[in-house]
This record gives sequence, C-alpha cells and structure tokens, in this order.
Amino acid sequence: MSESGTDGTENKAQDVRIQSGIPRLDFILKGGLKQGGIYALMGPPGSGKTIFANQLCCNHIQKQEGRCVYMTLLIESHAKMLSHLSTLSFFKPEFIPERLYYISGYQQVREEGFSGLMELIRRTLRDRQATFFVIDGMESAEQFATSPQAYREFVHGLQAFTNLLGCTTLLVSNVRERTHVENAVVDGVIELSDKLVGPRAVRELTVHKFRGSDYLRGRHEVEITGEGLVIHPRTEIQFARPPEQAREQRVRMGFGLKRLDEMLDGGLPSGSTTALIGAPGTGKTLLGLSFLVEGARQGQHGTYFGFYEPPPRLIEKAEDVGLPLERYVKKGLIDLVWQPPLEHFMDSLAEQLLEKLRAEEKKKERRRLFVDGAEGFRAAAVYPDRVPRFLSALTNQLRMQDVTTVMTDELELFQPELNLPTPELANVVESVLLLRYVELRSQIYRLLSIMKMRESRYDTSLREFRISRDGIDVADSFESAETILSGHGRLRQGRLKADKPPKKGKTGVLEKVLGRGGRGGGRGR
Amino acid sequence: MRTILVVEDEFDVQQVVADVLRDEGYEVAVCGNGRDALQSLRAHRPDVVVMDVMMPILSGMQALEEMRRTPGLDGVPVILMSETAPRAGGPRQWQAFLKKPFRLEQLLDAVARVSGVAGRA
Repeated sequence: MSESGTDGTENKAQDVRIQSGIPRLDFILKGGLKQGGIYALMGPPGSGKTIFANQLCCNHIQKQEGRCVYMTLLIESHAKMLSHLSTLSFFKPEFIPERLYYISGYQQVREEGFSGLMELIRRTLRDRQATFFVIDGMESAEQFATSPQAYREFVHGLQAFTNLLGCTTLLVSNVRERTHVENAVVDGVIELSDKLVGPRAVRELTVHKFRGSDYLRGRHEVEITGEGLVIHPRTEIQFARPPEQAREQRVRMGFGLKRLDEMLDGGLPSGSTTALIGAPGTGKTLLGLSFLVEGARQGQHGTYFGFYEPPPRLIEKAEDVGLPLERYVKKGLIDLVWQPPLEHFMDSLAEQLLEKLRAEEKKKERRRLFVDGAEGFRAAAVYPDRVPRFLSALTNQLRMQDVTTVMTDELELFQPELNLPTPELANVVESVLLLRYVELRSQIYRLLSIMKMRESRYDTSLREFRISRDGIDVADSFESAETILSGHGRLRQGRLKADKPPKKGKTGVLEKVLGRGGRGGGRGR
Repeated sequence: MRTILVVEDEFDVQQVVADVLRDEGYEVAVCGNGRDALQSLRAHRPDVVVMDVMMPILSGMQALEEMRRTPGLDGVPVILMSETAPRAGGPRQWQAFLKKPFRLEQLLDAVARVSGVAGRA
C-alpha cells in the first residue's frame, strides 16, 4: 500500500485486487475482490460455494503467493471436503498446512460465543499471516447470536480487523434473504444458485453488491468442471463499441460462385455478418462451406463452427459436390469446430468461438467464419428471450475482430410464409441471403435471393440455386414466373414455352419449366 | 484403565473419536487446540495422545514439538491425524499417523498398538 497522497493517486493505489483465478469472475468484478474487503457468498447446498471458496484460496496462493486460513463452522468435515476437492485440478494438497490452513471454529463459538470466536480469528490470522480468510458455515455462527444486532456487531468487528490486516475475507453461508443483516455490513454480496429450468439444471452467479467498483450485474451461468468453477458472463453485457474505422481495408469476400459473386457486387463486404436463411436441405451448409473454401483458395483462414454435422460427414458432403474441403483442412487453412449434440450453455459457446478467433487475430490474413447455425445457440439458451440481444452482441464482437461471418438460420420446411425463428437476426446483420424451395409445375427447385445488403449494390433477382455432383451453382433468374417467394411459383401469362423442345442432354430445370434458362441438371441431394 | 487425550478442533470429529474410544473402554479427555492440550497434559499425563495437525491457536505439530521438549511429556506416545501426511518431524516424534478420513478399525488398531495393549482395550 502506498502512503497517503494529495495527488489523487491514493485511491488508485488502494484499489488492490485479489485475482480469483476463477475464469471470468474477475471480468465480472472488473478486476477481482478488493484486498482487505469482506464479502458474503451465499447459495443453497450444491451450488458450488465450497468449491468457489477453495478455488479462490488455491489461486491466491499460487498466483499471489498468499496465505489462507479456511475456518469451518459445522459443515462437512475437513477430511470429506478435501477428499471431494482432490478431484479438481486447482486443488493442491501440497499447500496444506503451511499456506492453506483448515481449522474449525465451531467449538469456540459454541463454548465462548462471538467473543471467543473473534479472539480465535484474531489470533489465527495473525499467527498464520493470512492474506485470505474464509469462514464456511456462517449460518451456524448466527445461531449463537443473542440478537441480529449482536451478529451485525460481530461481522462489523471482523471487517474492521481483517481490513486492518489487509486480509480479504469471504463469509460463506446457505441462501439467505438479500436483506439479511450481514449483507448490509459487508463490502460485496455474491450469490450462487442452483435451479431447474424445464428439465435443465442451471447454476448461476449473481453479484448483488460490490462496494467501490463497477461490476457486471445480473445472472451469469456457472459450470463446475474438472478445473473447478467456470463462469460465463452474459454475452450481451460485454458489448464493446465497434471501432470508428475498420482496421483493415474493406474488400469483397466471394463465395467462388461466379453468378452469386456478381449478384453481391463482388462478394460480401469484409468484416460484415451475413444471415443465410433457408429451410432444411436448401443448401445452406454447402453454400457456407463454399465461402470458406473460396477463402482458403485465396490463402485466407476460415473457421467452421457448427452444431449439426461432425467433421468427417461435413468433408464427405463437401467433396461429394466437388468442394475440396479436406485439402484445406489438412493444410490448416480451415478449422472445423463441431459442437456435439449435448447440453450447452449459450454464453460458453460464444466464449469458445470468440476466444478461438482472438487467438488467431495475430495472423494478418483476413478471416472467414461460417456459423452453422443460429439454432445451435438458440437451443443452448436457458432464457430464450435473451437470444436476439445475444446474437446482436455476438455479431458485434465478430465485426470488431474484422471477421467476415456467414451464419445460417433455419426456416420451417413446409411453410409458405417466411417466418424467421429470430427476426431480429435480419436486423443485426449487414446482408441476408435467402434459400428456399419453390414448387413450379410439379417440380421442386431451390431459389436463392439477396434480401438485404447494407450499403452496397446488389442484384435483386431471384435465382435458381443448383446442387449437383458437378458442384453448386447459381443459375438464371425466375423472371418468367411470379409469386416465387411464396414457395408456390406460377408461370406468368403468355410466358410459357412448354412446347419448345428441350436441348438434348443439357436441359436445365428452368429450361424444362420455362423454356429457357441455365445449364446442367438441378439435382436434389 | 488406559487414558487417552483427543486433541481435535473439528467438534463433530472430536466427539465421535472420543465416543468410540470410550465405547472401547478407554478413559478419554478432549481438547480443541494445541495450547489447551499442553495445559491438559501438564495436569494429567495420559497414556496416549490422539492429535490433529491443523488446529487453531497452536497446531498439532507445534504442540508436539513442545511436548518433546518438556520433561515428563517427551515420552507420551502420540498418534497424529491429518488430511495430508506431515512433511516435518518423523517417527521419533510421533508413533503413528492416521490419514483422514480413516476407518474405525484403523483408529482402534493404532491406539491399541501405541498404548501397548494387545488387541483393543
């Protein structure tokens, strides 16, 4: 600690933080717990309180060479607690007893009340030169309080002493009212919860109070992994302002499909996000992979982040239409990141994606990302009403990293209306490409159109999108037909030339129907 | 009747260890920390001390060192108990070590062996 000063540096110097080592907790607390502060941690049994407290101790010892005292008050025995903790990677038994000291204060408070407990704490913290102190089971201590005021005085006295010592203190208790007397005295209140949302069990962390510092409010998802607690702050409150100017010169990022790239005035603007929407089977994944393969062909790095098809199947699918995906995966130009169909956390997925892209940021080349698709995030959402703001924040973060993104979103298979599952997605992206089925003269065709392209010229015509063993291609427009976007096209009056003989061997689907049109057969997959 | 001093700060562990030893016919006294244990030892010399390592005020290791420096107490057999094996000292200072969590059989066997009783008390 610095000496008092008059130049305004005193407060800054005193804002020393204890880094928790719990992933992203310090981000939520804007730096960590304040040194010498006293904090309440509350939550029901099974919410992870003891892991939280021990993880803080072990990280404090490891990263800041601290000394910790962990006092229990009629909770599980030390032997059981340590046995459970031994399965977690943060826990280092070699810290015991020199740097991490477990004691029980129950007998003291039982026999001598708060004065005896306080004396024990004062003595122990000074003897052990503790820099971090945990009391686990505060509700047991409270049972011995003669009045709420007596309990308040005990916490107050503890706060005064630990602050004098510069020893950060965590008071762990079962869930309590937020208006509990302890919460009024302490410097911060952190709550861990464990509840069922539908069939899902969800742990969450909420910071209710944090004196002298900003913090991220609201509930954040918590996972208990083999490494201990991991916290996933809500993506939408991590919103950072996009830079005034792009760090890279904007260029066009094509799909490698001549006609589509022409429609897009050369390709998607670099650093932009595009929604690729369509019903299942319309070719969204292949079009997205074509975007990555074209980038790789130009030496640009691409990432596939998907939920549906595992990498071998994806490669097979691409190779089947002549997209050399495997070659570029082997060269390291395309990464296939697949999320198995398990229960995920939406913010955890976003972190995984953004952290991967941040790790690649140092590479100079322009990066492409294909997210297949938004439904994967939606399925991981515990609170579905968060999804629009989440997607907005995620696309913003991607934009900030100058990543050119294509994200698919699924339409209903048999609905004539175009109902986007997340209508807000179309608002937060720069471009929207639509793929859909069109029924015309007892045939099903795939249609591709550009619905939106912000600040750019684009071709508004409706085109046939073909998938065949020869590759994927964008063909002629459906100008001879109308009401195409309804999914049930009909031929314009006087435009039908069905009597025109088809070209031998090269008859295209449009040609079959409209008597004009492109090359090759539009074969469904 | 053999006498045993149980020194343990965790109240429930202290009580259960004392109770099972009493059930086996030992006379048992209890303390919650090393300082109180030394006071008790000076007043009444037990046949065996069963002592935790991590305790408030005075740890088990500190109490043990003091015992070994004190004439009259230096020969009292000690069984240490802890979640982790002690890295200092050795068999010259204590006669048995029980790694927590231990089984009832291990406790009773250690006490019987250290107190020189064939089998249990």
